[in-house]
Amino acid sequence: MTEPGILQVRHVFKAFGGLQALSDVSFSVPRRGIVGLIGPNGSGKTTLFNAVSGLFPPDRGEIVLDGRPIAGRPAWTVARRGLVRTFQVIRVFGQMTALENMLVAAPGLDARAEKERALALLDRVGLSRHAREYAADFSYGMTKLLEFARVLMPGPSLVLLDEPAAGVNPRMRETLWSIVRESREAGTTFVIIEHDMNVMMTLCERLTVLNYGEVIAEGPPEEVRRNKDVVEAYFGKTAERAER
Amino acid sequence: MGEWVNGKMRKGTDAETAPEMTEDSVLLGIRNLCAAYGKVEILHGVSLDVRRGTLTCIIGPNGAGKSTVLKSVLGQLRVTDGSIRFDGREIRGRATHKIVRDGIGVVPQGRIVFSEMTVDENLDMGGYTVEDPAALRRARERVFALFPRLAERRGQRAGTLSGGEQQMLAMGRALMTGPALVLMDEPSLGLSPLFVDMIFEKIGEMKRSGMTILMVEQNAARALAASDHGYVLDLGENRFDGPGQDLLSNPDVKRLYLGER
Repeated sequence: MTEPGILQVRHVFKAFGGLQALSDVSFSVPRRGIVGLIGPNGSGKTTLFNAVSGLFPPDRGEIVLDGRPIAGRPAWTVARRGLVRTFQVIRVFGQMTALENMLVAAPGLDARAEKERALALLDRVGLSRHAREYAADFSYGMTKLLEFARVLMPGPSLVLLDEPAAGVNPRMRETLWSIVRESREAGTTFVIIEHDMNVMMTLCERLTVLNYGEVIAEGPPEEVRRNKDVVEAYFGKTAERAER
Repeated sequence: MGEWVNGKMRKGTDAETAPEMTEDSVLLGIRNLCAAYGKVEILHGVSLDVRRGTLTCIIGPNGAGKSTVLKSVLGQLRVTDGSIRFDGREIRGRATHKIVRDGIGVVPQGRIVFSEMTVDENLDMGGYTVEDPAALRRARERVFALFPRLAERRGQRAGTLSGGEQQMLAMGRALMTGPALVLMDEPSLGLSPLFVDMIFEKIGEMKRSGMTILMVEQNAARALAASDHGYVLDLGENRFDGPGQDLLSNPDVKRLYLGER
């Protein structure tokens, strides 16, 4: 028998008024894995992240983190159990400096160790020059990088990344994905929403594909890329190009 | 192609073979632009030309000042030095609403639409400055011809559109004034592969219909491939510029900005 994995989502439903945003969604995330979540805009990816991270409870279904049910638990409880996330629509504290934003998410070490950790992470994402500037003055891409660095600050066990590379310069994107790989080696598990298929093919061991709130495919990236429904709903010409 | 050092085009590049820039051929000309947010200066003397009927893109690292160039053109922040000429006229210091009337349209970053309003109402907002109802009607027809999907959804609330459709709506809204120049800030941001293809096709159609476009993109390789001319900004200064295809194949640009080895 294989290990059950760090996160299981079982038969989750969520509706907003008449819109069925998630419909019987099930998937599992292996410990120390990197799992990708793809699908057209509006297919329910972010809603799934919101339900899993405790922003709102699912209407039905189970969410199990590390063997403990978390469906309906508030976000702060979920975060203390080691599950943290970034937002597609960035959320940082504008009236705090980049460094202060990092320290807000500190794991509770001594002050000096926390500051060192914060500065090291900011350095990795190319923001050390801006550590003492207000986050409100950052460009969109810089804010994305700050949010990415901040999510790693507490040393989480499971990280949900919602389009972390959108708006980030191509060269820095590579750094960002290397940090993901390194953190995984150090024991962190990742679930990633990202539209760049070249990245997802090499980074993820498994992909789950959502369309209209339902899982339409699940499996290793190579297999998912060949899936006819996925090609039609999601890739369009990009898949043809990748085949060539 | 040219490489810039300390705000000046470096000698020995093919400046002598560059097409002659006349006042007529350049729709938007920016010279030595310096701009700041509060006390923090972001642009330290940026220059660029957008020629009529072309698609020009700006690429570069995060915090390079790409969006700041667009905001400066639109009069949305403090320009401390330099000149911005649009259609032969200085517009630096001019109020944003007047700049829109002058003929500059904008598609903001992050496909911002009025989510509680319908598609039609969003387009009305875009045409707010147009007084002639016949002109407005023609503009709407042009938008629907370019984006038939919007015509199908004209009574639908914008918040319920998919991401790609919202981006088309943001583009359509910018076209309601019949602008000579369209500024686009990261049109492909956060879109699925299918819609990225579609948006770039639409940008191509806009250009073929005679519009001039200045676009900021992080999807740098894709943007350069589609552009007549590209500028690379870094730390608030010009680093490279040249035809999109030339920049795409330039080893330094590839290594430093396209994330290729």
